[in-house]
Amino acid sequence: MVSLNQQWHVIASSEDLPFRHVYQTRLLGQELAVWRDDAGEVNVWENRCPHRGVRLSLGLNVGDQLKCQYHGWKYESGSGQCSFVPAHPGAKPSTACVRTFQCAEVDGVVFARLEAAGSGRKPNNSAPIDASVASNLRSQTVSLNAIEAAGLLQEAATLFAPVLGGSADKIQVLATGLIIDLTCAGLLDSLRLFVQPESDGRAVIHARLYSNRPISLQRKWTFIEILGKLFLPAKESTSSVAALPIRLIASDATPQAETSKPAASQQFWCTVTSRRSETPDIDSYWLTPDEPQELDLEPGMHISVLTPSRHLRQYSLVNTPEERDVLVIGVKHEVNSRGGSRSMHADVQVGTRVQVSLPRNQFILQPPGRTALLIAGGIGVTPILAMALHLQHVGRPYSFHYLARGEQHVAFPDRIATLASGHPPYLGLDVPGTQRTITELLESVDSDKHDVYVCGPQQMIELVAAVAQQAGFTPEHIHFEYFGLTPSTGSIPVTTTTEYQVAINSTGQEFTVEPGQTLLKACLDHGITIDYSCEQGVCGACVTSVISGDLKHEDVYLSAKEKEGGKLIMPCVSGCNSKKLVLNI
Amino acid sequence: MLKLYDFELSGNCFKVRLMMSILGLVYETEVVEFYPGREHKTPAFLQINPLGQLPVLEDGEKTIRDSQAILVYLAAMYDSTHQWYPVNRPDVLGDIQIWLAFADSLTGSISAARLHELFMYDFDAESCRSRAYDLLDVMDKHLWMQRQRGFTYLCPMTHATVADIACFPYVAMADEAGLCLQDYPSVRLWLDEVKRVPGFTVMSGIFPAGDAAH
Repeated sequence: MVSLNQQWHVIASSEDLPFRHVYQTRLLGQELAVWRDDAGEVNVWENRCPHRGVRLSLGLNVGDQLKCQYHGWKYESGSGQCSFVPAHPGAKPSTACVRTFQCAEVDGVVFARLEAAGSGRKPNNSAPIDASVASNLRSQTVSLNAIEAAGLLQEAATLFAPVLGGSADKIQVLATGLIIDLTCAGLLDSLRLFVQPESDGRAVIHARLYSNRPISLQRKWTFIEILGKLFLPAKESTSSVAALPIRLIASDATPQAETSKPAASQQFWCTVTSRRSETPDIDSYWLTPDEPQELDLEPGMHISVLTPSRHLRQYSLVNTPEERDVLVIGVKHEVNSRGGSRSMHADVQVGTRVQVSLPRNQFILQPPGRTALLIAGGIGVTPILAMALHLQHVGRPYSFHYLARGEQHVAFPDRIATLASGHPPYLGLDVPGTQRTITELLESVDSDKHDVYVCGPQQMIELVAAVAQQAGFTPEHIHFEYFGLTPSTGSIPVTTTTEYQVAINSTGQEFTVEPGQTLLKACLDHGITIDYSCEQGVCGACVTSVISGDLKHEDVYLSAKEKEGGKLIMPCVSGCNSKKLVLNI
Repeated sequence: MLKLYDFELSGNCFKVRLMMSILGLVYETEVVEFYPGREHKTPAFLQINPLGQLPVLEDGEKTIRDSQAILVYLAAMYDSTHQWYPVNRPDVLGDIQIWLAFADSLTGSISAARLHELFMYDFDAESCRSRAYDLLDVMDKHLWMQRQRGFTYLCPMTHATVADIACFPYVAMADEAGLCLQDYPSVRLWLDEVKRVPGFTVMSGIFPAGDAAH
C-alpha cells in the first residue's frame, strides 16, 4: 500500500494558476506555494523562503523566478535554486534552495506528491468519457478529513444528479481512492471529484465535469450549491492559522521599479541546427533562434532550456565572441539524470525546437585590471572557455587550465586549440594529483594581480577556493559557479562522517554526534532547544555560541571573520573536526 | 484643493488614497491620530465629522464623510471616463451598491478583528473572524462565477469600479486580522488584479503584485 504521502493528489485546477500568480494550498499539512512560470511549467514548492522563513505565497511570480517579498531573494523555476540576492548583486547567489515537490499538470488539473514513490509513473487522468467539453467546477474546502469527505460524497452521489442532468435513481459511482467518478445511466456526461487531503481535519474537493454539450453557468452554480448544502463551509480556525514567522515590515512594501523587460521576450524558441559529440558523455548543441537576432551575450552567461521531457535545465554558453546569432551549449549526460539531461541526449536532434530563456549572467567577469586565472573541471569548461575566448578577443590577459578525466574527455578541443594562453589539459589526475596541481598553480601566481574563476564539480570548486585563500587571495577575487548543482531534492543535511562529543556548558550534559547526524539533530534529540528554520545553513536561525572546538563551517550565513573567530556555529550544517565541541548554551 | 483627514494605518483611509492615486488627484492630508491618540473622538474632530470616524474629505466648501461615499464622490466628480462609477450604466449601479454595502460589512468584521489584533480593541475577534469567513465565502463564489462569465472584477464590467476599491483594503490585510485566504483562491486572484490597476499604491501591510504577463 502506497502511503498518502507517496500518492499523487490534485492540489489545484489549471485555472488556479494563471501566469504571474502564486497559489497557496496545503497537502497533508504541508503548506505549498504553487506557481506557473512563463513557459507554462508548474512549480510546487514549500511555502517558505529558506532565507528568513516568510511565506513565498506573499511573494512575486516574476515569470521565471519567484521573488520573496521580504528581502527580494529570487528562486529559479524548476530547481528552486536561489538565483539572486539583492544585497549582493553580482556576487554568487546563495546556495539556498527552496524545497520542491513533484508535480504534473494533466487534463486541466495539477497533481503533486510529497514523496517520490518507487515508480516514476505520472498520474493518470484520462477523461472518463469521450467528451467534447470539459470544465473545472469550483473547488471547495471542507472541514472533514479526506477519507470522510470521499465517503460522504459517495453516499450523497445522487444529490449531484442535477449537475449531470439526469435523474437521481440513475447515478452510478466509481471510486478509486480519493477520486470519484459519477455518471448517469443513459447520459454521456460524467463528473469527476478529486479529494485533496489538505490536512488532518480538512479536505479540498476539486471537480471536473465532462460533457458533450456546452456546460451552462447554471450547472456550475448548481454544483456550488450542492456542495454548500452537503458540507458546512470550512472556516480556518485561528489556531491553525500560523502567524507569519516574521512580520513583514513596511519598508518592504515599496513598489518595485519596472525595470524588467516584458516577459514574452524573455522566452523564445530555438531550433537545433547542429549537434556534435564532444566526449563520450558530453554533446554540444547549436540553438538558433527562430526569429533571427543579434544576441547580447557576455561570457559566463547561462540559459534555461525547457527539455522535451518538460524539465527546465540551466546550461552555460560556450559561445565565441563571433557567435552572436546562435547559442552554443554543452550537455553532459548525467548517470543520475532526473530526466533533463537524458531528454536532451535522447530527444533533442538537429531540427528539434526547444524553448529557452534569454541568457542571464551570474558568473560575471570582473572589470579589467587583473589577470584572469581560469580553472575548469569536466563539463564546467563551458563558461570558463567562453571567458577565455572573450578575454583573448578583447586582448586582456588570462590563463586557461582545464582538468579532464582523459584525452577523450576533453570537450570543445577545436575551440581550446585557438587559445594562445591555454595550458595543455591536465588529464586523469587523481585527488592528490588534483590538489597538487591546483596548489602549484595558485601559488605560482601573484594573488594581488589575479582573479580566480573556477567552474566544475563542487569538490573541485571548494578545493580551489580553499587553496586560493591559503595562497593569499581574498574572497572577492575568487569567483565560481557550481555546475550540475541541482539540489532540487531540497536541503541535504550535512552530516558528519566521524563522531565527536558535544558538551553543554551550562549543564555539563555530554552526548555524541553520530556519523550521519547533524549537530542540530543531535542537540534536539538530547533535549537541547535550538531555534532553527532553513536547515541549509542560510537563514541564521540556529546560530549557536561556542566555547571551544575546531569548527567545520559549512554554512553561508556567518562571515569569513566570524568563521575564523571560532565562537559561532550553525549547527544545522556545520560540525567539528576535533574530538570535542563545547557549546555555550 | 482636496484635503483628506487621514490615518496611515486605516484601511478606509487607504481606499480613499488609493482612489485618488488611481485618478491622479493632488490633495493635502491632515493626519488624525486614530491610535493611540484617539484624535477622531476629540471635540475639534467631531465638529468635522459628528460620527467621529475617519476618513473625511473636504473639497472646497464641501465636506464628505464615509469612505464609500467619498469613493463615489471622487469617481463621479473627477473620473471623466465614467468607468469607476459608471453613471451612464444604470444597470451596473445596483451591483456597485451591493458591494459598497458589502465593504461596510468587511469593516465590521475583518477591520474589527484587525483592530483587536493590532490596537487591542475590545472586540470579540473570534466572532468577527467567523463573520468575515462567511463574507469571504460569498465573495469567492461570486468572483469564481464572474470569471466563468469572463469578468475579472466584482461588477459585470470589464473595468474595475469603486466597488473593487471599497472592498480591497481589508481583504488584502486579512492576515493582520488573523484570517487566512488560502480557501478563497478566486479572492486571491482578484487581489492581484486590483493591484495591477494603473496608479495602484501600497500601504503598510499591503504589498504590490508583480507585473502581469505580457
